[in-house]
Amino acid sequence: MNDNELKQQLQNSLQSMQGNDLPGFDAAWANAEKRHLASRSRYQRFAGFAAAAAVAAIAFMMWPLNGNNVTDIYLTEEDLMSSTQWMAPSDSLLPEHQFDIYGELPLLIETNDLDEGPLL
Amino acid sequence: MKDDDALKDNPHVSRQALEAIHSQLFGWALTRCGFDRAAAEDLMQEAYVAVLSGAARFDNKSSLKTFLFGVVHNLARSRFRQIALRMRLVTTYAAGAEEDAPHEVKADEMEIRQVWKAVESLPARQRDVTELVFCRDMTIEEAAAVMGVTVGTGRVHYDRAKKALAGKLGALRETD
Repeated sequence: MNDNELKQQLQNSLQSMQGNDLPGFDAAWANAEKRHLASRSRYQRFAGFAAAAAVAAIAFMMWPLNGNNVTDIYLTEEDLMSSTQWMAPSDSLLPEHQFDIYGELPLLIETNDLDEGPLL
Repeated sequence: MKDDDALKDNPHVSRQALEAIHSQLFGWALTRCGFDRAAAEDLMQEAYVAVLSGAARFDNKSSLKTFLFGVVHNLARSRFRQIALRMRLVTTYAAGAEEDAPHEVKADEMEIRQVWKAVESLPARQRDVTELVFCRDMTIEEAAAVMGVTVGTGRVHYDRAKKALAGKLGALRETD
């Protein structure tokens, strides 16, 4: 049996197995588009819900700060009037240790001590 | 290829081009699902959704036909692996029952179907390369791309499949 005979035989056989009434492209395409749109809107709903949840979580985490710390500590009239000292709220974020740039930094850069780690 | 009706997320694919190979692609999906039409239609829709969403992106490196056959093949392998296994088991055990009812199918049609049964008895890759080359008019290179194997491996499977089929079909003729 040569290749052409084999090909003919196989094609006839497959044709017989799969039948002639194949579904139309339009119906298959329309269903696929419907599924695609459904999955996209599902994804959008999920993304919207996740974004809303994230915003709610951030608002919930920041609420005690706004409510208690800032208002009570820094804007009490009595505290302001009974003292001659005042510290800006942002000062609390400053590091306690202040570098002497003439005294400390040159030492750090020039050191060859490996115990300090591979700084240079 | 860039047509007017090109897809948004897959600019090298057009609806028209998909329509042109739809019937061949459905035939391929049908054999992937053991000739279960409902499963094949579902598989086709999955493939079209993958193309529509850009999850399967065609970049013009092969022909569209090769690409889509590969998409269907991969989807069938990943999503219908378990179903296919079950179906194979069912068809194996139902084979006896099918033979018990020969009056439903004409004798000459039965003979034609025996040929495909011979193909189905081949190992999976030999079966795939046989279908792609002989029934879907692909070259061995294209068939290898669809199956995700090298061209050399594709050739080996093709040769083995041809030899095995010649033996099986010869035996079928002798029994007739």
